Amino acid sequence: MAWRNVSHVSRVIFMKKDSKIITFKIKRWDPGKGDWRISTYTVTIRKGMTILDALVHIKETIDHTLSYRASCRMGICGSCGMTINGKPRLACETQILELKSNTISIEPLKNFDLIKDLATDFSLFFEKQTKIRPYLIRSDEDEYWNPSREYKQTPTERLLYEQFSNCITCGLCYAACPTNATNINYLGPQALMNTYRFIADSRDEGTLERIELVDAVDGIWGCHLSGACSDVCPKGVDPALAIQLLRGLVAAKALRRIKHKKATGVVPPSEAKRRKGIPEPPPFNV
Amino acid sequence: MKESTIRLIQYFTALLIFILIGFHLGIFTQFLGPGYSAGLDYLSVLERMKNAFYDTIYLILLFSLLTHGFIGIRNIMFEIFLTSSIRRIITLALIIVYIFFLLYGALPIFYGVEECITCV
Ligand code: SF4
Ligand code: FES
Repeated sequence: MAWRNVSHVSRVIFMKKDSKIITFKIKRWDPGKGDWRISTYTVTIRKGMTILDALVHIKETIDHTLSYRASCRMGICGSCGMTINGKPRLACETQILELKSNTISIEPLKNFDLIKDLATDFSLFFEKQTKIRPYLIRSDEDEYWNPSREYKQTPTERLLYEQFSNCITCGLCYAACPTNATNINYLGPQALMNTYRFIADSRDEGTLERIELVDAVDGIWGCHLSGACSDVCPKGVDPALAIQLLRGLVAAKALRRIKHKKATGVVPPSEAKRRKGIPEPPPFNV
Repeated sequence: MKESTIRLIQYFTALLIFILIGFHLGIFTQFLGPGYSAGLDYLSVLERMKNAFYDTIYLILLFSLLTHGFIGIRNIMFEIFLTSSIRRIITLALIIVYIFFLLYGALPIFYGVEECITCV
């Protein structure tokens, strides 16, 4: 009881200073009826709360039937993408007060199939991602399947693709893309960006193969340069840039300016010697 | 044909169109030709048609415009129709219409050449 009182008092002080009453209009997909409905919730929120915090609060205290997807709560897993005030965003990275509006609309991500309420189906998105072979393609099969050491790569070589490797597959770019909205076959910004990410990787040997995969109307040439993907990307990956760089490579291949890329080998065995005064590690005991 | 080759053809023809349309409009000015109204005069047009240089320019321009335009129409159609069988039919239909327009457009040019041959 004492705890409750303290909590209540602190909440009153808090309400005066940092809190605000916000109305959430949530557009929910009802798979049973195959129709939409809008649920409205009024929540007292405080500074620092994200949209995901508000959704958790609504689900725990107001409406247990609300469905959405989230996991890490820190912009890493890429599960909590939704359309917030008309723009695809990560719910866990969107501060409510920064939206500067008393009514916030939340909808599922566009260009995805729907499961329930705010939860969308990412199967097609990941199918397209798999299509572009998002892993290193190498000719040294033995080393590839039974690695003896790591592949060699200098820090400068890593910088060539580092930005593109920050993708968390949240699908916001896919939801914002106008081509994806009209063409279900279009690979989408994420898959195309990832293709470039692997081509730019010095350890990869699949350049020609990857170019072949994306050289299609529904591949690299489907992009209309709207740049919406880069605008919404929460990780600053800039898929539009990757698509343009990839387009350059595809055109260069058509002009026979690109040849098979030989990837770097494995790092040579270390010849480092133990420095004086540093004790030996304890023997393995497992 | 690979999509990248088709797109490169489209870029290349766009460049050609830019240059040749510039030339085409240029002959209606005092600098490159007889001026606007004189340049559009029937006899003056006929005269140009009898000139092998202009004929070549017009043929290249016709080819570039049609190729560029039809690739563009194909791209738009491909965004509306997504199934590959329909896309194949569209491509075939467009090739037939393309050839028809190419021949139809080339007729007056060759007519001019013929005139030129008979008038010599
Ligand atoms: S590129 Fe950006 S927006 Fe697209 S899936 Fe990756 S992190 Fe999300
Ligand atoms: S919950 Fe993981 S990115 Fe938002």
